[in-house]
Amino acid sequence: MSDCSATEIARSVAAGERSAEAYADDTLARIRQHNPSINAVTAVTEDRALAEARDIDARRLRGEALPPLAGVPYVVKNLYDIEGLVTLAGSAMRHKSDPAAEDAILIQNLKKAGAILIGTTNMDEFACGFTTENSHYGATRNPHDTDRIAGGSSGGSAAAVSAGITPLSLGSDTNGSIRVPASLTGIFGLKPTFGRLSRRGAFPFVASLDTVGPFARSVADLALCYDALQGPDKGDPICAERPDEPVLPLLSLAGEGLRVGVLTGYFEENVEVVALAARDIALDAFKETRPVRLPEVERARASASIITASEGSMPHLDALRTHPQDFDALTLDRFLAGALIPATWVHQAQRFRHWFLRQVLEIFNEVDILISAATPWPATLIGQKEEGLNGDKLIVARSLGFLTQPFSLIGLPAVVAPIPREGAPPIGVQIVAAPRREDLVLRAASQLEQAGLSHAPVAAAFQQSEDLH
Amino acid sequence: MGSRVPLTGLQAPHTVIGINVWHIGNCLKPTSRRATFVTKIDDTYLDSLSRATNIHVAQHNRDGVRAQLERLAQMADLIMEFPLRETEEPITKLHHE
Repeated sequence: MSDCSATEIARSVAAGERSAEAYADDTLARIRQHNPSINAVTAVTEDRALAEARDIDARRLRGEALPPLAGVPYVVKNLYDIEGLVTLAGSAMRHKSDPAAEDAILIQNLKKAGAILIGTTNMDEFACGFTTENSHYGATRNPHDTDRIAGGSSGGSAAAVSAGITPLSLGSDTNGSIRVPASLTGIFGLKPTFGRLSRRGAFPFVASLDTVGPFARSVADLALCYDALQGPDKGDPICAERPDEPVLPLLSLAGEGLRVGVLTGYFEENVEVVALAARDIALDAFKETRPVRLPEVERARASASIITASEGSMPHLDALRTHPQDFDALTLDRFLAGALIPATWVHQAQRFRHWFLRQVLEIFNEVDILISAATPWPATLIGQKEEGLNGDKLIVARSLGFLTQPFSLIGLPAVVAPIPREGAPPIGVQIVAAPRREDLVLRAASQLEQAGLSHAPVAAAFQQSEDLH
Repeated sequence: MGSRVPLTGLQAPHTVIGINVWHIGNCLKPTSRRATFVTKIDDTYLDSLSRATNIHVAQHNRDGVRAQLERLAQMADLIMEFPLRETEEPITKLHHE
């Protein structure tokens, strides 16, 4: 059952063909079987999962109409609050913190939609990284090749979906932390518009860049989950007071009428040939495309990095002063540096953000979506510090966000769609749209899926789950 | 492709709360995949900022913090040199309503 979609699980539970408890049991068994080889799941909420599943089954037996994700198992990056559990955010020092008093809003929304919380997943410490090589909890391994990274910082959530442990998971994306692992593990990931989904109860990294969103193995599942996650929240000061805008009913439009821009310049110069080839494959799904060259993209990425360094260190100033030894060594260097940079740099980065946003919004008068590769390369080896890029050597941990950070700076919605490669690690393409146009990026991804160019099968080594019990 | 920032010899393009951030020799833009990091952050900067913010940088962290700061300094060069209008407002929080 590892390849069951969320859509299929919800349908079969509602039809009484299979119980939610049976799906939860299968998921728990898959964690026992597969997690040791990928280190994606860090805690299992077994009692809660079985209680939630039994509640769904009882509601069906009473003849109640079931909600859209009834019985669908999912896991969350361990920066989401779960009532009664300590929110680790990938750190060792937070072990001493109090357990969360209530679930994060997105978990509350998924519970209302009938989904079953199974556990938490591994991540880079405090979401500060692109590789999920966590010095406290170990590296998460890529299900397509367990010698390779899953990407980060939401690497555990991506790997769990890629390995077929669950059909859905939640991550967070500040500079690319949903898009990078989606690309490297060969699944779909959605980074919504900044402010579109509530971040309440998700441990903060960079207040003016943080977003939260889902992973899935199909566009329909991604849309189904995103629709369940929507809803205004006065508890998050940037969460838009907008009514729900369901995207699932719009997927059937796919690429119809979409004006497609192909990102050139920076987005072609900072990728390896395999990433460019994946992008070119994706373009075959669209009748007509036009090249688009965004201005000053290097400065946009620099601005995102400066803002990240400064804002990212802020939640940790006390810990930096009192017990710096409890940080991962690389995280500590990054946070210390971020705490010591001049305000003038940050202010100028925020001014540049305004300029860059205006330029990019102008472009959306001419095109509906922009397409590029999602990452410069497919997954690198665990422990590998450098990777080649067109003859140069780059530091992997710094470079995986080359293509995602410019859009983080201005809070645009983006989806990553996987392009499988025969006998080689997958890589994804990034599809970006104007603010609040999640419908367009998901429709474009659906077009790729319908054209047979993008799909996200469970990683080959994890497709057989016999004798789970 | 990174364009070359025309820094030659010893220059001090920024003076920040009385502390010079020195740039030595030629450097390439830091977001470029060809970037080489030759901007130097010295102990004076670390010690002064450490005192001002009450954040101690232990001896064994200094090389790592310096490397991070030098990378950020080069990124800052990219945006500080960009000719924004004086009236350009900062976006401290996006509001995509």
